[in-house]
Amino acid sequence: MIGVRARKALFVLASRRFAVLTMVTMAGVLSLSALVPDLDTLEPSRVDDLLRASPLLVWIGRHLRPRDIVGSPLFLLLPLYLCAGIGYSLLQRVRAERKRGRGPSPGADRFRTERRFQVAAPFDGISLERQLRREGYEVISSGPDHVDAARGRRGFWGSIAFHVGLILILIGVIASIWTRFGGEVMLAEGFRIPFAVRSMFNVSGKSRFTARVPSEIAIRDFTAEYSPAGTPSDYAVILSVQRGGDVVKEQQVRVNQAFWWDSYQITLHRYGFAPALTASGPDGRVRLDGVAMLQLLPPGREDALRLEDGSRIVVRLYPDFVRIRGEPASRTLAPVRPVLLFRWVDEKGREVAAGSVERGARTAINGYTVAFPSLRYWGGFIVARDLGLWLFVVGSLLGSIGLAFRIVFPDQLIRTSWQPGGGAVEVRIRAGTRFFPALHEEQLDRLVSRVRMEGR
Amino acid sequence: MKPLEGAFLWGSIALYVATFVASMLSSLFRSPRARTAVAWCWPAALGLHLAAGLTRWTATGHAPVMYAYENSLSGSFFVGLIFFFVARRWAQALRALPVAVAAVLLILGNGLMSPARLSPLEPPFRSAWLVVHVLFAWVAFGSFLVASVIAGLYLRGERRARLEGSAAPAILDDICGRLITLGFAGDTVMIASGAIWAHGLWGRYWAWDPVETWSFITWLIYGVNIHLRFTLGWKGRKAALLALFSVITVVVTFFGIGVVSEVHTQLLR
Repeated sequence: MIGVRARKALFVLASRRFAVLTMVTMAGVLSLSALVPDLDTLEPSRVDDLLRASPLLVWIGRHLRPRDIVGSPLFLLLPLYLCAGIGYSLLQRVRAERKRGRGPSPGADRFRTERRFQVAAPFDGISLERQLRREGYEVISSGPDHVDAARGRRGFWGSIAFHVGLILILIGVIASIWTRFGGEVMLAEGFRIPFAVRSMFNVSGKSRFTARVPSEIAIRDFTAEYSPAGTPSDYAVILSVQRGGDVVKEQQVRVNQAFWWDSYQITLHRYGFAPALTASGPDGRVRLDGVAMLQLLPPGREDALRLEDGSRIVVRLYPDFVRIRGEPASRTLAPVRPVLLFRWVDEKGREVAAGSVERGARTAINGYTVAFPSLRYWGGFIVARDLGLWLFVVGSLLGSIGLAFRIVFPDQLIRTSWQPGGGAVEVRIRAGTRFFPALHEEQLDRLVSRVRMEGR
Repeated sequence: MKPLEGAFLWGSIALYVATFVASMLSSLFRSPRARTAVAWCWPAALGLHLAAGLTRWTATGHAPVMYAYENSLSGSFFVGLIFFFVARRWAQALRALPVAVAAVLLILGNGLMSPARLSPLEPPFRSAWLVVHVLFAWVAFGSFLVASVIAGLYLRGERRARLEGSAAPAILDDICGRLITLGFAGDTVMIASGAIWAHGLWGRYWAWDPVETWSFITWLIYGVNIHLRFTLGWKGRKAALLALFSVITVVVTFFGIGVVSEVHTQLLR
């Protein structure tokens, strides 16, 4: 009894209808989740408002987020199930194709049609055979009173390519879930950092980082181009991988032009200004001597640099400094006249000095000195490795080409026979096609009219 | 927008409107003059539409694939072009011309409501994959939209055939199937090229953002269409209704994400 039930369940699972149902369910659940905003991006008060307006939407937003759904074990089973189903279907098709040899495909008889017409005697079928070959048919049997022809073999291989493509896409997706590593590094010009997880942040798949050889990365010669309006139009930097101080690989990197190292893709993602700063207190002791990595936008954005004694320096960088109605501002984003505004706040939260310092200058207020000798750039790089990407891409392309072949070259079969009747010859054409019966009838009518024209 | 581009664009809009009016007159009164007007106005409208796109391309230095205006300009062109080829090959589809031209005008109108600023490509968009991605997106969009127009025409013809006891216009059903397949193949290439571009740019090829999620939903829905049509043998009324229903996902993916966000904004206010 259990065996029968299990067989029935397997039969249902392997059915194409169940595969369609699975796809519809996936689409339905994802549609539902895609209609609700990502609650993580909303302020808590807005989530509360939404909760009052529609508790159902909040529930969906919390429990049906696309990235959580696709990461769930149940959802991961779906590609495996679809893979198994497609693989099984593929095997069946290849087996059937081998069995049929040169014969017509069984699918070619799905939609049948028939034409009868008369041509003037004598009719030997040569013109018909010629017309069929012209239409891409392969003659599978011919005699004094009949010609049988079929086409669509390329369509069969298209179908195979399509299914192999789908399997590759699904394997690619699974491979991505299991192997993907991602992280981000921020690097200022003139500095080196180890190419290791400890140098990165926003890391996903930490245990999957396996650098084969210890190395360091560094950047130099950052160039940023600005449009006449002063907005960044392009930026690039020379990235190098070093080992023991020796440069192993060096390349210019820009947006959309990645650097590959040890199977990792390193992409320039963002950049900002990195002013070199020196700060000393009234006692003359240097409290800060380094480079601060500041955000590019908006100009004049406030950043706090914590010092070891608990005090902090709050800075605002204006790359193209100007005063508008007495207020500091930046004309453009280009570093034409970089000025740093600073506030020194002691460990008790009291502001002890405030002022501004231009590039290459030093400012002393109340005994607190801040020097701004130079302005560099920093680059934010995404480090990623995803073994599933290329499977996904190759699968998609193979699937598309395969599908196009399948539809452009459908299985079609034509069986013709003729016999003399009176002063003419009566020709009978029985035709079948797997897809597009009406279009096939149109083609058949064209064929008939051509044969009749030749027979006149 | 440069004056030349504006002249081409408004010229094409005028010709599209003329095509719409002439095609309506042609189908209502079977007027030969109206048919002649359609035969002249329609290709001319497409020609001027193409000229507007090329002028923009020359002015900005990049394919018109950025922001709402440029996307409407190219998207509506692909809808018009695909329908043009379909109707030239199968005259039965010509009866849907007013609907197709109205769709082109609606998409263009939607784009004209956005600023048509001439701006160079920002660094993230300077990639050959962007052109491949957007080109195939419009092929898919045009094919799916025209397929739904043909499906609507089929349903109308099928209803009339049922009342008159004649044969349903089966060829329209087949054309719809072919267009869905073309759109699905285009959609797949669009997703794949977008994935390569995204990986080169952000180090990940899929992030389940709303547009990506809706693209995937569209792909799944049209995958279901193809499966039901070609494997399980759906045709006629059922298949046409499914094609009409499926185009909703396309419209949401291409134009609706902003609307959905707006709905949320309203809801949260």
